[in-house]
Amino acid sequence: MSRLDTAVTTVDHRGPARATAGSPATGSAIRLQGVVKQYGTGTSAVMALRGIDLSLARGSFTAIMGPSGSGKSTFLHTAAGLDTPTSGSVWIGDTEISHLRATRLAKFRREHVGFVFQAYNLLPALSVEENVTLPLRLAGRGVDKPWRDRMIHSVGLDDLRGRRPAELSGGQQQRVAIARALITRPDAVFADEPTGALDSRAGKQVLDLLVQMTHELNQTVVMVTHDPMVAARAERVIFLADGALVGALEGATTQQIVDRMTGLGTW
Amino acid sequence: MVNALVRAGIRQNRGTLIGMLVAVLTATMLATGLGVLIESGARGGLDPERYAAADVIVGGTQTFVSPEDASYALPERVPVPADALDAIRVLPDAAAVVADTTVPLSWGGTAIEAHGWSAATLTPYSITEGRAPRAADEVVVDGILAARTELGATITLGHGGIDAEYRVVGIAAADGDQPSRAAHVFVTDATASAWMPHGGATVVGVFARDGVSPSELAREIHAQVPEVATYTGRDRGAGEFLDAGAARATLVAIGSSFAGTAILIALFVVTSTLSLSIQRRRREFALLRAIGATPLQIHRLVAQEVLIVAGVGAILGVIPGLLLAAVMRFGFAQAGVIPSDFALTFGPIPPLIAVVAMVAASQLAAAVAARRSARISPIEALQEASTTPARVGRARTIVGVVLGVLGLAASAVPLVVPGTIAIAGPVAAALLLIVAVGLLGPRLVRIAIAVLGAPLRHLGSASAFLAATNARSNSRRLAAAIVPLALGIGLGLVQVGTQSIVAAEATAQSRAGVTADLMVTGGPSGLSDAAVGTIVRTPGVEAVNPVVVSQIIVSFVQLGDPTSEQYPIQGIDPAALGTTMDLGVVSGTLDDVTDDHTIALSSDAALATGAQLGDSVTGHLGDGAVITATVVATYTRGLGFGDVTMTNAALRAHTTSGLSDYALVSTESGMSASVQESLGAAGFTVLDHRALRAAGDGAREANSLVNLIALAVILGYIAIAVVNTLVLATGERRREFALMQFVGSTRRQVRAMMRIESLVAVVLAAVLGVLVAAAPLVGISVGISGQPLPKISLIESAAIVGSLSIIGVIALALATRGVMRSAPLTEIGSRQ
Ligand SMILES: Nc1ncnc2c1ncn2[C@@H]1O[C@H](COP(=O)(O)OP(=O)(O)OP(=O)(O)O)[C@@H](O)[C@H]1O
Ligand SMILES: [Mg+2]
Repeated sequence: MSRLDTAVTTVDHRGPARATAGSPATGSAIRLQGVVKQYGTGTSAVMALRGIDLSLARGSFTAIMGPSGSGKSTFLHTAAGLDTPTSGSVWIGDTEISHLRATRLAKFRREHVGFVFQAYNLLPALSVEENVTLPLRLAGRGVDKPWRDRMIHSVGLDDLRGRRPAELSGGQQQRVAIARALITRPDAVFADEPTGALDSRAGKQVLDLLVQMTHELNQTVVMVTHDPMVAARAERVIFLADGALVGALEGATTQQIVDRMTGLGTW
Repeated sequence: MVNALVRAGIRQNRGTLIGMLVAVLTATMLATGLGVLIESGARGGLDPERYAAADVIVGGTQTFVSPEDASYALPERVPVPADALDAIRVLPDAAAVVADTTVPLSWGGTAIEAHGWSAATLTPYSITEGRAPRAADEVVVDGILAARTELGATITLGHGGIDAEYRVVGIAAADGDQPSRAAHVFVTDATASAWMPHGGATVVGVFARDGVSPSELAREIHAQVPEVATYTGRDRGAGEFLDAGAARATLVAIGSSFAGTAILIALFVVTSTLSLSIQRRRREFALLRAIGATPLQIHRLVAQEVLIVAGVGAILGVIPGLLLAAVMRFGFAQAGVIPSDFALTFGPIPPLIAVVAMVAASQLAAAVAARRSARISPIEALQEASTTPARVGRARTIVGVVLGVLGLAASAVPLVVPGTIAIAGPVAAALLLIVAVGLLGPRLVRIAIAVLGAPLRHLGSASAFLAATNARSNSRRLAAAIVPLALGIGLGLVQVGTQSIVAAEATAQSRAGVTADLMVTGGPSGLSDAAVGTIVRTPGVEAVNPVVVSQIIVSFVQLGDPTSEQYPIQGIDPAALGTTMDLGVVSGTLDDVTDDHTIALSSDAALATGAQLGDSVTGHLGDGAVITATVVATYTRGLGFGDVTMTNAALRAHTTSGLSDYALVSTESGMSASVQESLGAAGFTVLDHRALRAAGDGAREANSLVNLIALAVILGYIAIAVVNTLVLATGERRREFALMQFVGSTRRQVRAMMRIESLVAVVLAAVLGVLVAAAPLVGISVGISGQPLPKISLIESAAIVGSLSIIGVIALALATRGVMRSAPLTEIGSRQ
């Protein structure tokens, strides 16, 4: 598989940038430069990312696709500051996060980054409301109650706010996760197959919510998915294969995405 | 912010945290129990009986503190010096001063105590019938004895094996509570002092002038005569009863010798339980990390949770700890090492120390366990399977290996250094090896499972295959159960093994060393000179060797530091030695042991103290008296007869009763039976020479009972810890069991798998435990008996290994059953 070096693209701004964040130099919310991620050393080494250069504009909604094992999750973790790259740099807003130490990184994450994982998003001990406000608690910030209520209302869980995760359906759990990801008004939201564990109807509901809420809040979203229908909701689809960027589609239809994926071989 | 999380965490993880709670609770219980024993050693005791009326009891100082600050309880009564008595008499605040000495008598085979009538005021006893004794053959009996005789009757009392007749002229009763620990008779002061072995008084009761408090008076006495000990209030019991003092010393010794081991094991158990319970929540911590909790926050979260849980556990452990102390007290009383009426002191300090220590220990353990969780990579939250991070830290491995090697080296000390002193090496080795196994446990278990698992996997049984595979991938979890079992087995074997090696050698030596035909004792109180004379004059007797045994604390210099060591000492008649006792003399001759300036040492003692023939040795005898004597002989059979030998007369001058314990008698050929008969007729107890027990046998036996009790307590604790760990570790596998049932295993198969796993665990624990014990035991055996094969009781060893193994198997079965009680669906269905 050949490497694609011309992946750096800029996407138009939609809406005004928030005053608190933004990189005046590039205008991008997320920027990766020469990012390499290697697991292990010696003969057992795995090159999960082979030099990724990418810049995602503020407010953009990007889907990442690629065959299993192509490095999508690794890309997401590295871009989101959950993991540090072996070499290369990662910026979120103005901050280069690729060299931050664990504590600084954690503090950065809870202020500037939101996550939605495929499963196991919530602390079983906490209620819906407590899970949503958890990042604020960790940051030692007071809870902005109207904002919290708006988030919970937006994800449609007004009636369930006292429940524990074990008493929620899979879709409901994902919606709690979305509210939590947005509660801090982050610079970027990362989602790894957020609908992967749901049936198509619940999946669509969750996806609609994600698209709508991030749009309303002018959020930058990066989402890994296997599902072309899900990917088609994104403004832009980026294809990964064998740890490298191998192409991008803007405003693609489901069919276009399917064709492209078929071109990449198994998926 | 963390508080809400802490509360929620505790609520959610109740099951796991109960495990931690139980671990801390039981550890606190153990620490409190041992602490109470130690404190009682310092303060507990018996209420005064005979001396209940006196305000202050004065006695000799019954403890000896060596130059290096080791404290010994002196086994014999220390007399009160005559000039001290005079000094007390002239104190203006002392209204009355009464000197007393207890003389042991026998009456129809039972031991009773005699006193001069003037000392009756110390209780006080007063006459209820009849009158006080006036002539030498008149006695007054107390209420206990009055039941056996009557006023005007003639009774036979024996002193030192010589009987005499006395007339009961009075019956006395105490004004307050009747003394019950002994029965008393009162004779004239003249008769009593004739019996007193060393002339002077051993106990002085002082009554205070009106308006002077006992403690004030005690202070004045102490200021005047600093060399005596004073007792007031409840403490007077310690002055009255020598065995109370000995019991105190015993309790301190037991408490502190087991405290170390117990705390070591408790720490290990608490730490491993804690890290196990924290490990179960890896995903939770990873998620917290992902959404922005800093490592420090995770640390604090864990620390606070543990603080609450361990705090509750520790406090709950106090009451059971006090009960445990009471149970141990009962056991020790049954074993005879403390008087059965010895009272414990239940002060606030031992529980306080136990609680603080256990909370601190758990915080430390939490810090270590949280380090792992705090460093956890946030992406682990996203991973489907929670895997066991089995890596044992490098530092831990290195320390473990170093301790292990040191332990093995220390076990080998007896191969290089001769004599019993070398067994200090293996004894320390056992502890080193135990710690090493604790540290290396998970790694050792993994290696062992790799070896043991291969055949299991190829057995063709699905359960066996699963068990072997699980064990391999979860070696850390299994190690948490195996290591405490192995520690218990190792500890038990070393403890029991050491005792039986020493006892077997001592018995062998005394069997081989007694050449006399008969052994004669004179009832409960011993043999006086007159009694020995009677035996000597018996027709057919060739030689009589009166033997008295006591203790000596020898002071010497080792590697430039002052050191002291307590040895059993025997006093013999060297002239009668030839046909009665063979000590295995290697240098010099026992004929040269003639007075209190000449002694013989066992080769072990000679080696330990560095004394050679002709050297001068300094020691403190049982009553604290200093002797300086020249070594005139050395002999091999020290374990059988005592490590120090001096003349009978010289040693008896420093014992409480001044009597010989027994006499070894050799007879002219063919006269054995007739001598036996005539001595029996004269009122002596005559035994076959094989009845002689090795020196210190009684003490060793009591000691071994004590050790067994303490061992049982520690093993019991280990059992609880193992059950707890296994329940915890198995609870983690709910999902696994449920999944197995979904893919078609029957409940039976799951249980069979767990049975095989538990067998693997138990076998590994037994092997590790035996390995830990083997090297030190071989070392000890070489040091004591020169034999590499330790003489240990197979039954006892099997009992230790077996009981812990059974505990392991039962614990795992119970845990499995408990986990499988819920339906598989609820498990798989339950989210997260
Ligand atoms: N912790 C790890 N250690 C070693 N190799 C890893 C690790 N995590 C991922 N890999 C390897 O890196 C490569 C990329 O993995 P990644 O999880 O990013 O793939 P993915 O595109 O998300 O796949 P999927 O669609 O199946 O989730 C794979 O070959 C994987 O085996
Ligand atoms: Mg993935």
